[in-house]
Amino acid sequence: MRLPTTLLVASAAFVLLQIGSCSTSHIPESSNNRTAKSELDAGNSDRLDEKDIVDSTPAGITRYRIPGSTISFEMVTVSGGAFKLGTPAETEGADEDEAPQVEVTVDAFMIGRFEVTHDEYALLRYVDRDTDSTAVEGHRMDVDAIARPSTPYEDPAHGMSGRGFPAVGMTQWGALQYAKWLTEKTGEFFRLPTETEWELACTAGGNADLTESSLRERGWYKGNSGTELKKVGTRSADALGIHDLLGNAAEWTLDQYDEAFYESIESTDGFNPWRRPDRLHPRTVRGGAYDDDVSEVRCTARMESNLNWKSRDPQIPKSFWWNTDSPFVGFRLVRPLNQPSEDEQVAFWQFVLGE
Amino acid sequence: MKNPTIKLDGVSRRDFVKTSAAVVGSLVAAHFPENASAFYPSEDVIRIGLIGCGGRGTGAAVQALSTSQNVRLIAMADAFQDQLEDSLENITKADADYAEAVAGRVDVPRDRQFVGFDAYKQLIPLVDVLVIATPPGFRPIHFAAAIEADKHVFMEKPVATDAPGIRSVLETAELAMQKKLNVVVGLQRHYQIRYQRWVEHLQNGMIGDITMSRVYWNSSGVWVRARKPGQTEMEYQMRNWYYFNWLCGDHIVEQHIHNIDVSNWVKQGHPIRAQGQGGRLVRNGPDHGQIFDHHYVEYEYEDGSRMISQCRHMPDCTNRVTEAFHGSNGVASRPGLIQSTSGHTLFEHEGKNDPDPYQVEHDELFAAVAAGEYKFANAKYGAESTFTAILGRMATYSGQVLDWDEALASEVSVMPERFAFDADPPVLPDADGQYPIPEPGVTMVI
Repeated sequence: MRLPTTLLVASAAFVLLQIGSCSTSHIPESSNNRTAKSELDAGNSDRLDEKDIVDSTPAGITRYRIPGSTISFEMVTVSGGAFKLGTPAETEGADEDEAPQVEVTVDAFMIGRFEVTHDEYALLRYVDRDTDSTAVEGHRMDVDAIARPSTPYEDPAHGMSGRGFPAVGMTQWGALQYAKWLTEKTGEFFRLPTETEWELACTAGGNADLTESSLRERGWYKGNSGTELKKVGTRSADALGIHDLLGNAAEWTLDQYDEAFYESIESTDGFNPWRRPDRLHPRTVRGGAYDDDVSEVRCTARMESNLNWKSRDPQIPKSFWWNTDSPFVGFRLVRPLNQPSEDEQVAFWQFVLGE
Repeated sequence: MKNPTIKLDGVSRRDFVKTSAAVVGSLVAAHFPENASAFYPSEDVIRIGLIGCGGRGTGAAVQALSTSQNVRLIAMADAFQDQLEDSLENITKADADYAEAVAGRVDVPRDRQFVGFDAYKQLIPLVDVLVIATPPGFRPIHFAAAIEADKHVFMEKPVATDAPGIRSVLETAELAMQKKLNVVVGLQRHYQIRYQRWVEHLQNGMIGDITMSRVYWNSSGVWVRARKPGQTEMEYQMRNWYYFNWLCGDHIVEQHIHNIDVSNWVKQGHPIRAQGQGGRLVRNGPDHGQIFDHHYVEYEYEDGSRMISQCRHMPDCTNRVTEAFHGSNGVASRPGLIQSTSGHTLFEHEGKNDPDPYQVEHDELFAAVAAGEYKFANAKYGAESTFTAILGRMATYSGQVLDWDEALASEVSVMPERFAFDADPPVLPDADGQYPIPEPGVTMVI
């Protein structure tokens, strides 16, 4: 199934900044958002000043500041084209669901350099942080009308949360709601990656077939994390400048988990494959987490979500937003270079969120 | 501590049913249409009634109906009609993972849906087992009525909101034991394998004497239900119950009881004394009733060891929901882990795939009821853990050192005089919509 790929002329009233040159200064620290409101430069809040440019960031990084906050996030471009998804059958160390290896073609996209952080997700959770309703010209947004995550009875992150940590413990639906909110906020279409996109980014970053000692440098997994979640970006970046694809928080994708997915791709044209969900469980999670073995922390390894993750939710209906027991699952976002039209976006959110 | 299996010696479940029927006899004719008394003549069906049809009650009912016994939900009771109806709808179309078990086990026609403060009275005679999940203020009343009528009980925690309520529950617990009625309390860690094994090792001295307990429930808080036009004050408080002590007991009681209870479980007893501090700093608006948003209590056990208890309801602070124990020979830094003083792991149980303890509570209760076995008497420790939390609240509200015995004997009650939607609740808002807030140094609690 193809994703919508028609071009959207982005009416970006917030600044999209290509950083390639050296300038002085550093990324503004995420301040305590309770006082952030007064620190905002309301009139020019959407333009990044010279002093916000980072001097030591590799070329090809795009930085977005979330309107109405002091929080930014960065994305890198992953070139499109043909690539081999999965692993050939009978490969040692690979699982059956990674086979057969199939040739696919993927459109270029941008992907988050980091897992979406606790700080970013907090803008959706707490209405008093999400103060800017102007967002983008023509995209007036009623911040009070946004459906926000319910307050979980326990702590979905099992204590492993705070400034700079990946946001974890939410359902795939909760992750997609963030993407939708961000889309409305910025006028740019963001969503979860498909499994295919995720794997392409991972492979293109040179993360395939790492030795354990290289993995140790690049990712948090069972062997070096002390079995706890870490702040984002505290391991070295890969060749594309992306952090924590492998390990730390495992990452939600858009796909239904289907062990025979790759077989079914063979009988299609192989363009932008996406295993569209047709039922609630299971969905695919990629990259492995801080509590996984080396064997699970690989570009081609596929994990399915588990009903166990919310079995301890004692209410009926169970929470839409949170799992009780997935503190090891978070997400990162992609932004298709060919942005879908407004209608296509509406149809997309209707399909994935039911609203 | 696991309750010993006590065989019923000749008293079968059929006798329970007969007893219930005898109690029902005189009421049926007065209240119910003829055919209501003819339902379920088979004595193999375990009839369940739900009192308190909120989110947790709905969940508990589904869990009860998901057990492998021959169970039926045949009656429901709630103060509010809309809540009862929503709950029935949600039970009937429960998650795909439950739907198979639940379908066909729900039979709650209009004439077995009871609404109002007295709804429980009409429901209790009709069933064999009660699932009770109302706000905790009502628990002593409902528990007493259930045991009086010879019913088995699953009841949510906590089990009361003041000392008189606790004394009532302790009395009823005693009666339940004499009558050999199974009572399970929703402190589900007692039914969780990781906790059962961890606590057993600690009780058996794996790290020597437990010299300190650390227990926490620091999280963001819970829901708020804003006042709606047309509501009486009683209705508003009943809807927004979390924020009123007569209904909820404050979050140290309603929620932090889970962690406090684990310490009592490990220590095989309850504290003799408490002192502490608390207040309301962040969650302090007119929609937040009278409760605090943080409590810090130091409890003392008989052997001189301490329990340090922290609970907080503030968004975006460090979350921590856990228990830890320090012993003379090591430390248990999180549930399922025990280490020696030198850091060597003595015991570790992760339990990622262990069964859901909320389900296990029901599986075990209904298995016992079906087999005519007497196995569960959770109400005593449920009451002691609840009172430990209440004692902490009393300490933070008053700013005084409080002794268990003196506090438990207190006649200070938080409950209203009369239960009716036109009655005055025990606390009322002032002209600015603010409720009276406890003031340490001034507020009297005993």
